Amino acid sequence: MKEAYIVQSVRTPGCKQNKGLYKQTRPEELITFIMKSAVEKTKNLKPENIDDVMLGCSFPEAEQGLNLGRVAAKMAGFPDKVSGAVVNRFCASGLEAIAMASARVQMGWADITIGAGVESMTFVPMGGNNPRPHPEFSVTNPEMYISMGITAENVASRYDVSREDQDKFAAKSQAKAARARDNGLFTEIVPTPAFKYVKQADGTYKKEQFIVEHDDGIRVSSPEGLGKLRTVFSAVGSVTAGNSSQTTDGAAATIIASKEKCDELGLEPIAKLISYTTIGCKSDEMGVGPRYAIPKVLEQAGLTIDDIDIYEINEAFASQAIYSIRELDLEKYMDKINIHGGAIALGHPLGCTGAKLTATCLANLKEVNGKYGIVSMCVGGGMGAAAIFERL
Amino acid sequence: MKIAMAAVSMSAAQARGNGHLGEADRIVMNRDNLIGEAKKEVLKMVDDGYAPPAKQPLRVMGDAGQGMVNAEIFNMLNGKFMSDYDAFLAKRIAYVMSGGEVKVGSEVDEETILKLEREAFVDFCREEKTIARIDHMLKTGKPLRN
Repeated sequence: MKEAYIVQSVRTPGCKQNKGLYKQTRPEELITFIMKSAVEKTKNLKPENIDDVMLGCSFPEAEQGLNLGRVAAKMAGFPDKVSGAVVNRFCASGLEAIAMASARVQMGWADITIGAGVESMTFVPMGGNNPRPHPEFSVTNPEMYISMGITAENVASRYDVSREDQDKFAAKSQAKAARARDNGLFTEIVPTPAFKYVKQADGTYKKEQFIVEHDDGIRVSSPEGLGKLRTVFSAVGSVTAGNSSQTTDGAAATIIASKEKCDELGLEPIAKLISYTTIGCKSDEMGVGPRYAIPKVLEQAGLTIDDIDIYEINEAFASQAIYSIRELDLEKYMDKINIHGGAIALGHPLGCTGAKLTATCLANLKEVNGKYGIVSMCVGGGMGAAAIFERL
Repeated sequence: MKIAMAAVSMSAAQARGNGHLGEADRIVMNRDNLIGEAKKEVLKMVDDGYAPPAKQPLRVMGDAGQGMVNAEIFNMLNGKFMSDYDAFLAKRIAYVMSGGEVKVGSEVDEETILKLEREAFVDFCREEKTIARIDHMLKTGKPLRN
């Protein structure tokens, strides 16, 4: 197998669904911009060097449909030879795309690939525009179509994750994110053009561009303040909008190149994906996914939790993140987990998240001068995914 | 879902919001005048030469609609927003409203829907919990969520 090196990993800021700064910016604009930026920021790399794009997206329909992987490559101005495909593993789509893009290079099927992710939950909401659960299967196995919020409630109640602990965790995520933003620590972010339709003096509208520099969902809050929020998914539960991830728009891209191409073009390797795995779990408590995926990927790589310098565990919900951290005996490493906050503060743009967290993980590994980083998340339908990256 | 949750309108404005009244339906503010105004309205319609609309085939959601409702019912049950009996009723009502065992986008005639509705109505009336609901509504004027 060939060596596959990551030579670039970047993301757009994440912005709130419907109300955020991307509310009038189509997903194609976000992914096109970030892929183009990734190439431009990589010294000695040109678009014609790219072979293929694997693009993660959880709801690839409407504006995100029509094989956005290929559309985005063309919109980015890449030459005809750059092919593209869309990958869907719900919230692990972006990570899956990076794994597939890496595997293509490792197998020698491509020299340089992009693994990316995009989701505009503004344009295509969770569940898609036209959900159609199977009529009979939805009777025998309704949990396959369960609301993610209910799965978070199930994790909280089945594994004793209290409302208080969830709110504390959420407030901490917000505080870490605010601190990182204020200190310029999100080095993986590329300020991103967004669009708005502005009414002119004569009553007509004009599409105007502006730049988004930061994630727009960060809101410093206290556990006490969060404790006053009403539950959303259950009349008698503990999961609120405040201790859940934000629904978000965003895009991220990682470029992977073979060792031979790095040598030939003079590309600088920054990291490599050393192992990736997925695992199934009960659908109605899908949030436990990282608890099973992380040990599996560690075993594959011959590493232990003590070897990991940075953990990016997606905060789909505080309940499932806390559960996974506790079960994995990671509470002693809280200073290595989501060091600049997680999806509760920064948002969870579904199919983009794996690619976004990869960019964040690699930036954070560099910041702490670490070697190994884990990206992990739970996945709708009952799955977990995890990847280990080694900084070079 | 308004039906599944046994949502009863407590005012004409709420009925409009719930979709039980249409935009063109007239609202009479004084309850004492309701019957009289309704009678006047219907007589005026006759004078104006009212004829019922011609029967049209109805395009229905079919079993795809039932799948959507089944999935949502599971969430509402788990979230304690509805009772088991609410769920039982909602599934059957979804079956009726979506046209029964047909494919999404099928066209069925009004009689088909009416037949499904009658069957469901008769079956519901055999249920103890439905009888308790009717009894409660007649005695208190409020819905019972049993």
